[in-house]
Amino acid sequence: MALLQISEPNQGDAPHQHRFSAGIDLGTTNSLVATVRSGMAETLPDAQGRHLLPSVVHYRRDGTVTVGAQAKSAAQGDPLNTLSSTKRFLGRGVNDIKRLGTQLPYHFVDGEKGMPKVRTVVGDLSPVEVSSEILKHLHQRLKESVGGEPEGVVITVPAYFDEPQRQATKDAALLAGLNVMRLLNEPTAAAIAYGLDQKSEGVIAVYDFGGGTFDISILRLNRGVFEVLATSGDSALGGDDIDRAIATWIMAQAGIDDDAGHHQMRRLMDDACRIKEELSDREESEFLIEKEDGTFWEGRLNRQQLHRIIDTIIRKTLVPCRRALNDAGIALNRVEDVVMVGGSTRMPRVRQLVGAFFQREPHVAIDPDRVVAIGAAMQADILVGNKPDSDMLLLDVIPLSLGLEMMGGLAEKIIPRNTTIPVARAQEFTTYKDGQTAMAIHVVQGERELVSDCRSLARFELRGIPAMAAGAARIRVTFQVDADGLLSVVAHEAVTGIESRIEVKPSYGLGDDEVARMIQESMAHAREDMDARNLREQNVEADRVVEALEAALAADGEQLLSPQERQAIDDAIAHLRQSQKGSDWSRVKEAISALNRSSTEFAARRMNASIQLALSGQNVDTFGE
Amino acid sequence: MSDPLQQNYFELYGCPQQFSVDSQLLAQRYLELQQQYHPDRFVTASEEQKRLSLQWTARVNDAFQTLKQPLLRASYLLTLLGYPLDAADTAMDGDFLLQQMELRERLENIAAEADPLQALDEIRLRLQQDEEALFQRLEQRFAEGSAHSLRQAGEDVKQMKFLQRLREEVNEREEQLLG
Repeated sequence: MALLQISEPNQGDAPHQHRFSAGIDLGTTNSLVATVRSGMAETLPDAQGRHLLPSVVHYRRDGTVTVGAQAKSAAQGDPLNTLSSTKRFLGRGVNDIKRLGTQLPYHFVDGEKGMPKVRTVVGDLSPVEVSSEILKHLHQRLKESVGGEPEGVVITVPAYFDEPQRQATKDAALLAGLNVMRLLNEPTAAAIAYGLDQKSEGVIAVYDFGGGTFDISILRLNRGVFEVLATSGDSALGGDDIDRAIATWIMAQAGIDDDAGHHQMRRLMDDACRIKEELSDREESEFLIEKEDGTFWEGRLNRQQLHRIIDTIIRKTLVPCRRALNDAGIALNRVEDVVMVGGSTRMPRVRQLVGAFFQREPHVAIDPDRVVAIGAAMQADILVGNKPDSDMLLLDVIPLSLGLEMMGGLAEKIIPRNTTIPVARAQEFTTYKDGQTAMAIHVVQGERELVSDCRSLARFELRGIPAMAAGAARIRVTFQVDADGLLSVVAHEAVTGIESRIEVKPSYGLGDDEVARMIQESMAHAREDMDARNLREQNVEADRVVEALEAALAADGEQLLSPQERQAIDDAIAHLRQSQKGSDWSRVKEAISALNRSSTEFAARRMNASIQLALSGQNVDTFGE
Repeated sequence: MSDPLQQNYFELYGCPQQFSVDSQLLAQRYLELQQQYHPDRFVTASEEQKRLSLQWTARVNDAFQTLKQPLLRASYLLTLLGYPLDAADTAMDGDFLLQQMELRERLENIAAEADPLQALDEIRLRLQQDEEALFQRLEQRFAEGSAHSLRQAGEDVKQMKFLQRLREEVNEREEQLLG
């Protein structure tokens, strides 16, 4: 059936105007930004025509920061101040990072609340701050190539990212001055890029083989609901391993010692990578290898030989594939689509073996390095309101259960995993001692029974409970998860009517205050610019709000509002218009809030009216006996 | 006109307030409500509208889970009809408890049986039959609707919870045996 449209700002009757939005793939090795122009999603290159931005940040003593290829080239000379693979530390605690291994040279120090920081010449930096530099760079590229500020962006995250990792990603975007409309799972973005969301149902495998990591996700699509059934992978398996295997083969053939110097090894890896790429198009590759003594070795490698060298590595990726299918409880023949992501899936041999495993021809038409960013841009385009007629709606689920610690160190699940979000759940607890006036609340995430096996998200105390007999207090703990999978927890005591509310912030993201402070710091020297920009932004917002509201009033004002109510809204509009004549952006902002407040009831009635209409369109008799 | 936060779940989904629901219609209504209220539809709207959209969608999701699952639906309907379950009341029918204890005992000693997996399947089948019988009984009681029937329905719901918990334990046990 045709769904009723609510005339919200993004769907109003005003002449169609393209709203500018973007999708960002914040990757471990490389990052990209994409946007939809003239109906086509495309990634944006830098001035040199490079689309991929290496996710590397270099900090110099004088405070200058470089990002990307330029930063990467600094790695050798200044390894301690050249930060790469920061995504692996986003939203992680100090202990998590120790567990990740120590192959990285950085010096981690304990920050506030167990949040790790990296020691650099410009001070101790959190992974959130480092990641925000990459996002700032892409933000700048976006503004320059499109000539304006995006209204909002969609940022992709791995499907297995837990709550603190998602929060940290969002914090980094906030620091970079981006308005995040939605966080989107990477495999879901890849499926969207191929238009698989248009199907009514099916099981999709997303095979993501990058430079240094391998991920497999099994998704199920059912009536517009994308559900991540299972994920698996190998965080230490990637295209680099293929290059290394080829380099090892060359060394054996050319008689180069295992203890070849660092410089020689680096060159061999580059040669191996080039040979690998050449064999994607050709049957045989001929090459010259320069040895350390300055002599050359002439070699050749054909596809069959190549397969013998690399097949074991590719087959290693099939083990997690099998595991993920088992976890998902999905038989191999039920997988209808296989989507290829990541640079290593360019190799014909990878496509061949993966296709043979899933008994399906994999989707390869879109550049596997860009497919995630492209899918994110397509989703952003819909969210920002450029496709008002689109029926597409991605309903996401939380990947891990959320719960509370109970007596005895057991975790009690409040919201089970795979629950569709947004969701709000409340549960009542009580005191266990006479006269107890405080209660410790420990929020955890995970599937295990014991709290010690779950991820600790937040701890707080509810204080000021009036002294009562044990079991008399009624403490209601409400979990709310928004459409991005971000959690807020509120506790209040109900019996006495006294309300104590505490909002929980994740332990490893940044507090709002901290984000605000950092934004202020970064902008302190540009105070006037900021005021001007704020004023401009608030004026744009004010126009948008008034325009949308006036359209709504014209449509339904007469029907849904009493003359007094109408007058109150008209007054608020006039007040806002008056405030726009001045130059104080904060007054405009206040007036917008006031107008929003005075029109909330109207908005609620309109949403209601439209659903009543939708329901009355159905014959009540068909609802079932 | 009413606010979704004030409407009960049946009203929100436009379903008659009864135990039987048409699961296909429920799913269809769910998607329609999502299309209208989901936060993705209000990304560029005001903060107030975003907040409303979040609350309403959460309500739509919660209502769906409740109406979809017979056990939750029955408890919810009993509350609406003025016969809420009392969590503190643990009194159960004696025969039922005895049967449950026998099943539990068998489950505990399952590893000692000749074919533990086969035995698990037997228990599972038994539970399924019991659940189906309870489901039919519940339908009758709600259809009848007298005070006596509804109080009995409360007993049935408690039994259903028992069966469900036992079914979960059977699944856990199976994983242990396989793992």
